[in-house]
Amino acid sequence: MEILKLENIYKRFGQSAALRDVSLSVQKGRIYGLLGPNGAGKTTLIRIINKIIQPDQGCVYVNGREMIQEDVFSIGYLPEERGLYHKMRVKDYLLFIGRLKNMSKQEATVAIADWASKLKFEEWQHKKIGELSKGMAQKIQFVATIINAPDLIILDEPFSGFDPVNAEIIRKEILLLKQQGKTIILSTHNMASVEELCDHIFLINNSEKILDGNVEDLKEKVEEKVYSIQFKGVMMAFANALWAGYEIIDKKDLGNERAKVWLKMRQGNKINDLFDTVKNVVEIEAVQEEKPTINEIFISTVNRREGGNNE
Amino acid sequence: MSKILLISMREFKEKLNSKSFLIMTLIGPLLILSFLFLVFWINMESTKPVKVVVSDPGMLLNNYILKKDIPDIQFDIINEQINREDFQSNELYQDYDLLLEVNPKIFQNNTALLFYRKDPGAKREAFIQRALEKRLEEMKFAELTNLPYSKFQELKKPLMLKTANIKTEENAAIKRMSGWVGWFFSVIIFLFIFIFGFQVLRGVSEEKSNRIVEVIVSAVQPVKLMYGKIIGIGLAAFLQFLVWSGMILIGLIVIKSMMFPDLYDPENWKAGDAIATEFESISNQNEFVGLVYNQVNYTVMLSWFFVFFILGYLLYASIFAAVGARISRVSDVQQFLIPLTLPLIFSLFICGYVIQDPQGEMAFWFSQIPLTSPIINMVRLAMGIPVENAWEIYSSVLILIATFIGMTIWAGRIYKNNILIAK
Repeated sequence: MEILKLENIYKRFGQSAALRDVSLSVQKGRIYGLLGPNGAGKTTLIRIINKIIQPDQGCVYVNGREMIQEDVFSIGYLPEERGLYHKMRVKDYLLFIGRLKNMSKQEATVAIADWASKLKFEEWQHKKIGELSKGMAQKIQFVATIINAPDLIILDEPFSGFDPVNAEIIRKEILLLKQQGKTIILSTHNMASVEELCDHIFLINNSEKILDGNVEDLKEKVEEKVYSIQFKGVMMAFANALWAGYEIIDKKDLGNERAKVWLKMRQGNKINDLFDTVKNVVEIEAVQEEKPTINEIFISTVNRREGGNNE
Repeated sequence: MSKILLISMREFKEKLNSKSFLIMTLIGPLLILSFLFLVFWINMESTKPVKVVVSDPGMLLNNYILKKDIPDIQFDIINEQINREDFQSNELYQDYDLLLEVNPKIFQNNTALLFYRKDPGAKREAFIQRALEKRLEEMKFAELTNLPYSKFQELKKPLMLKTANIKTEENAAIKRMSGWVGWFFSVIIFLFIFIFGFQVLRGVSEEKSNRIVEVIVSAVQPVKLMYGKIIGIGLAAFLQFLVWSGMILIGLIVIKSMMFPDLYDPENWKAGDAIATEFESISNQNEFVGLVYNQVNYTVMLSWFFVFFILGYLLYASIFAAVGARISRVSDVQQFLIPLTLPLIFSLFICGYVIQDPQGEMAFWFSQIPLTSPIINMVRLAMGIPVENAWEIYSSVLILIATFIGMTIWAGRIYKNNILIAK
């Protein structure tokens, strides 16, 4: 079920285009990675989804109909640059945010108690936010985002500033939210998180969407596959044997005349050709296809696009 | 509306919990009361009766200067020469504050000497000079003619020019004095707009720089956030003003009972009447006290004060909010404060001209311009506005309301477009 749809969104700030013809489709119960270099237009896109700013052209649909102001209450948004009212007490702040998000006082109080016990900040509830540690303050920001149990959750760099322990807590919570049927859009530069959490990615560069797809599909679709081969033998002899039919990307000396090499096929060679080429030079221990990381897909797509643009 | 209420209540509570608000709420009225007390006390000190020993060895004064006693100055005539050393050290003269030497050749040299232990002040000095001059004139007149001195007094009586409104017969001098009471209310309006407008400016800029604003505007429209902020801080200002009013009112009653228990007893004010017709009474030194306790129509002034205070605050606060939304660094806030309040400062300065001519062109136009009208109208109201000109007040209120509405729409647009832009 399509929970959110953006159709041909355009947005300009003065002379510069922030978004050009961006369309997205977000299905319920999945985690999406919204990726892109700094200044690509991700935050503008998120603000349009949250109705903080209006697009110049294009339309946003929620659950199949045009988005209205009230729909923002079904969206939980954690901005990248997020502040807090430092003089407020934790409970009062969460209550205030809950009430702003159309919760009754009682509903908000119950939700605060639940989250306080889940994220272990019960004893901090009556402290002023200014007295909290950075990690604890970030937990409060996370809870404020999801306090009203929104169906769509947009998290902009949710792990920035978290120590590994707290980052893991938040990661688990995100997965739990997915299990509960919530839809999550994750905008981050932390590719490990994207790799671990996301089902689907949107890549935005220079105000345009340049990649949109299921994570596994994107990995499969990579044109130039990388293979790793682990062997016992002399590296020089192995390299000489490959000659022009293969391109060595990387290598690693494993000791005791053992090594691992990452390479790409050239001149239409297949995996069998590789075997034939090196089987008399070194003793092959393992060969496998290396799927690209999201980071590699990100960099190669952006570079390819920018290279194309420059040309 | 409920979102605006939520935001304004948060602002209101935050202000109430801030130490600076509590300190200012208590210290403000105490400072004003201390200032009033000081003025009253200085007035009382300057009206303490002084005793003058008059050395008249030539017996020119015939043992008196004033026919009737007045409470402010007591003259005791000694028909002997009193040495200055004696006046300084002789126990006989220690009760006296002043020594007035009337030398026997005073009709030739026209000079008397007045010695003091403590400076009597220019007003008393002038009074003593006038009293002695009159007495000597009377003696000389008796020596030169057979006519009674009262005839000469009738001839010499100075012309009094009394200015009054033809319809109300209102005294222009008293009216001008009341204008300064209005000015005092204007200063209070200025202070509150300055202090709380600054808090709106700072609050908006702080929310923007610490990035809480994006969290809030994802749940509520920016314009509502702005209104909530303005209303919340305004409520705190209003509460502070109510506390100030209450404390000042109680303080004035306490001061009155301590310092002027018989303020309304006419006898107290008429003690020097007999002489007042002859001389300018120094009793009118108490006119400030009379102004505070008798002249101010607190009901009328406070009612209009609330109208202009609220509208003036709302108008300026929306301007402050719009400017605050454009500022990314809190440290830049200070430099905008004076330019933004310049129309108010200017209004306070031109109040002097308005008091001189409250129905003039300048008073009229500045009472209609919304950026200056909250200040100028308080002065005009305090001085009284003729019935046929009452529409001027209503028109200025309407213009102020219309400008406030227009300004909040404009400010809301500026606020919305700039609150998320960090430069």
